Amino acid sequence: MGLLERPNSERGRLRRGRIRERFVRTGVRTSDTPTEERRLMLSRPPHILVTTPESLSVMLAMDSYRRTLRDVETVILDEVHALAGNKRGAHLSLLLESLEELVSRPVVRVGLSATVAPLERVARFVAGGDRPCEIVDARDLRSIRLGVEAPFAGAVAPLPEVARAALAATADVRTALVFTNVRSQAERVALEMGIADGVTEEIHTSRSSDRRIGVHHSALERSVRHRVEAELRAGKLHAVVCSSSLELGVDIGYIDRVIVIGGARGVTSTLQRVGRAGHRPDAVADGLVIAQDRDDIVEAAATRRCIADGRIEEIAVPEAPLDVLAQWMVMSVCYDKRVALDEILATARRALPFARLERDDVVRCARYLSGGGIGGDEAHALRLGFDGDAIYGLGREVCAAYFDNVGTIPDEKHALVRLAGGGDIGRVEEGFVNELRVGEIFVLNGRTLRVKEIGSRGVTVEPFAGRPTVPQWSSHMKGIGPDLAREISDLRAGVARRIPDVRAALDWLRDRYGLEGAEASHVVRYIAQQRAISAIPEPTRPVVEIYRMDRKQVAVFHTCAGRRINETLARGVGARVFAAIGVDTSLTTDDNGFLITLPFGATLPDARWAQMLDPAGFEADVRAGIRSSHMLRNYFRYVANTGLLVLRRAAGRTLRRGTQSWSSGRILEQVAKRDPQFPLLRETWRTVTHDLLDLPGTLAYVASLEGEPRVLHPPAASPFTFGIVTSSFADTVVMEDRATMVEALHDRVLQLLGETDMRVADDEPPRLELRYT
Amino acid sequence: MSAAGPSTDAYEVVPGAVALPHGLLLLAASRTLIAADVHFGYEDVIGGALPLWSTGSIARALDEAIARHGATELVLLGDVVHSTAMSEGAARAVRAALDGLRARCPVVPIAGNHEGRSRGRALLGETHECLERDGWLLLHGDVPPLDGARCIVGHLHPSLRLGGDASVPVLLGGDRLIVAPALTPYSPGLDVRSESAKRAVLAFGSRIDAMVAVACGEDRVYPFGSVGGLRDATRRKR
Repeated sequence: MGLLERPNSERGRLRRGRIRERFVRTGVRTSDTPTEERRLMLSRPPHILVTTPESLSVMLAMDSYRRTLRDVETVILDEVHALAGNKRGAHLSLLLESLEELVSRPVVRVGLSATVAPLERVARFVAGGDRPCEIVDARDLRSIRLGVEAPFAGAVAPLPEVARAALAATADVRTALVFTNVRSQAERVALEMGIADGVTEEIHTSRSSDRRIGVHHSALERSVRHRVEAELRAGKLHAVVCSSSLELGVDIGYIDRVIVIGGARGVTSTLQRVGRAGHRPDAVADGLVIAQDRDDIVEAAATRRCIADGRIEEIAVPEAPLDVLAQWMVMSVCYDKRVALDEILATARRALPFARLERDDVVRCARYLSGGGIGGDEAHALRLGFDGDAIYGLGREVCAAYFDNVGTIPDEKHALVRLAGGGDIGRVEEGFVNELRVGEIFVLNGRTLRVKEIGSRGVTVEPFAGRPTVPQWSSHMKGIGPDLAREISDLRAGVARRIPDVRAALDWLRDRYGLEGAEASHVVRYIAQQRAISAIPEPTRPVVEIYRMDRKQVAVFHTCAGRRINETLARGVGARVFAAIGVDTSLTTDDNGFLITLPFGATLPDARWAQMLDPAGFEADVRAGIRSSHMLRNYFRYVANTGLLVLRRAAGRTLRRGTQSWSSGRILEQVAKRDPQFPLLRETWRTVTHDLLDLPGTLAYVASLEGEPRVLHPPAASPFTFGIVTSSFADTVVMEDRATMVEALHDRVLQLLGETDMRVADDEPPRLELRYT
Repeated sequence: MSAAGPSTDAYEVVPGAVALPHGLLLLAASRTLIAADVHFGYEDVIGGALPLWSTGSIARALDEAIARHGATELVLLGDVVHSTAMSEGAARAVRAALDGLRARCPVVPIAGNHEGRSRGRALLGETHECLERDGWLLLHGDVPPLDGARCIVGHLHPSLRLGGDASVPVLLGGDRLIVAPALTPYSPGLDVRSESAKRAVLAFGSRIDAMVAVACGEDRVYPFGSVGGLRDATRRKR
């Protein structure tokens, strides 16, 4: 984000035209900016200030900065798409309205964005209120080429094959970016690419070979990342394997080709990734998807169709997040300002996320922040004062709590990974560490490491030569949205309708999806197998498959509704199953459906399974499902931090453990018992049902279903279930084993179907009639 | 060792030591009431925007127990405060709660790890590192005694997880070691069936499997028999 301003005196001189301005002063203010520099900035304000929402919120709270900000003329919001859909953006939108209240003339706002939709909504977000706004649409969706390659003959590609294909795809270019969906996979792919290239040591230590491969992801230490970026710019690296960390923003120079392992799980993210190639006007961005299984081929084809139609995921603006509102209200009165409640309401409503903010909610927040309102008991620390009409600041000391806890970015806990002899390698998520055991082997920063010790301050490792035993961080797996899911569903149904006429199906895949050759054959065979073993789910008529696995009843719901709706559906169905059998079940979700495993000995009849998506009372069941999960507790932690209920840092007091290990679950319980209307409790629910899950979309989905789903008992795991069945074992099965497992499932299907090789003869198109006996 | 039995309002976990609701422990001979890990001022220490609910509710529970059992003294078994750094207002509230209890009977605070290096003297007055009562050594338990004395400790927050976020405090009783659960409502505790609990108890020279687990509700206590038996029973059910 940049703020443009001209210091008063110079502006005067410029206006009089006596002095031509020759120097443009720029400044950067983030939480890392040294105090000395900040002071300098006040005495000689920069013409262009680059800053963050968090730093802006600090500046807006301080009188010294407010005087300077009064002269701001232009605000440029870069990468708007990364803000409009989340709480950080909601925070920023309020701050811009505060800035607007401060300046003498309206600020000119400029929003810049990569691929984003819908333009109208994002434009309203940038402009705020009903200010006039002009949209400059410079999108060009057609200059993207997206190939797809499937380096396997059966149903799945083992990772070494994927890496070999990726390496081959970089052979004829100067520089390439290889994207993976999860961080640990970036490490694994880079490692395997190195092995395929004959490298056995660490990957990005200097080597004489001209094909050096680097790794880049957000868990790496900043210095390591910067080095990789610099080497890429300088053309010293042939390829960099990265997670989403290089999707945007980072300057990496000229890239010839982008390779996406698996798929980007979205139209926008595909465009963003592939768009990193051919950074030159008129150049076609060259992208290639390397499919790891047959779902990936289908996804790539559907993505291509969506790109051609210009259908990209729409950003949803969070609806009046009350934790953000509370924090902003505290800022608005720092240190001792007094602002009428009506003014707070009017200002907030000009920010798009708060356009429909209710006065009652402002009152509730004011009451909470002023020390009352939770179960009628008084709190000890007040964040502001409230007299019924206006809120007011309580002085410098109280504001310290605000300055120490500004912002909406949750403190994601990370554990440091260090070598036994010394030296930090990078960071991994705390959740990953919790699953880790001494002696296990994983990959970080291109190195294979064995865990020596797990302590409270991090993980100590030693280099190790051998295959990793730990699968992957799964927490960063992205899901696909409802539109792409719908296109996938249409593709499946379209092929299914044309089978057994293989030629017709292939022609249709070529014409509508640009899919040809081995990849097209894969898709036709995949769908033919599914059709023979089970059935093809349709958008308004899902299929429920019932299996017995490990002597337990398992139900797989094929909905094709996208990840968030599936997550939400699974909560509702989970609650219904709980109501039916009285025992908690385990749930696994993916893009195309979800899987429920009943506990040993429990079964439900088909008729009950068929009623599981009945729209009547579904919302209540979803809420019951959420209540019994950890979601509320986990997100209450963030909401309580943003809403200043629980502080991350407290000035002047060293908190040995309090803030670090507070029990969000227990506090949530106490708050819920004493005040069900408490704004931060309601905000936690909103975050979970609207930002994380998609309750409205899910209710629309169940309402759109035509009749009950089809309940089937396939004789073997159907091809559409391979992915979800193997991911239901995600905790215990490492990646290689998953590939083996899928092949085993596939072999079983082939055995049942007695399928012969399906090759399309030149003159006589075969008919593919699969039937199991 | 005692077997699982029906719920009751007091359960003699080892001769002379009675488990009470809320996770309190009464030494019958001296009528010493013991309360571990009350963590007064918790809400203030984590930010202060929550009312000091736990201070009030714990003080009330202690007050009732002193009266009901005719306790001659109350021993607070360490981690009496969540942090020695708390706001003036909260410190006043904590002192007031303690004064209220002192009006009933002598209150003897033992310092725990949360009392820090200052041992909590500013808030609690004189604090002890350990005491002896009825042949037991009373201490917080963050550091096991070197001499292998029979002791009563807190610190571990033993509990029984019930699935989801729910858990119930559990008092662990053995011939040579008693572990009292935390009174603070904010701790989910350490599941007595876990490996960590086993290791922690072993540091005191006791085997957790042989200890008796008594789950403590607000009005009643629930004897579950030995931890080993409890683990087997719940594993079978799972």
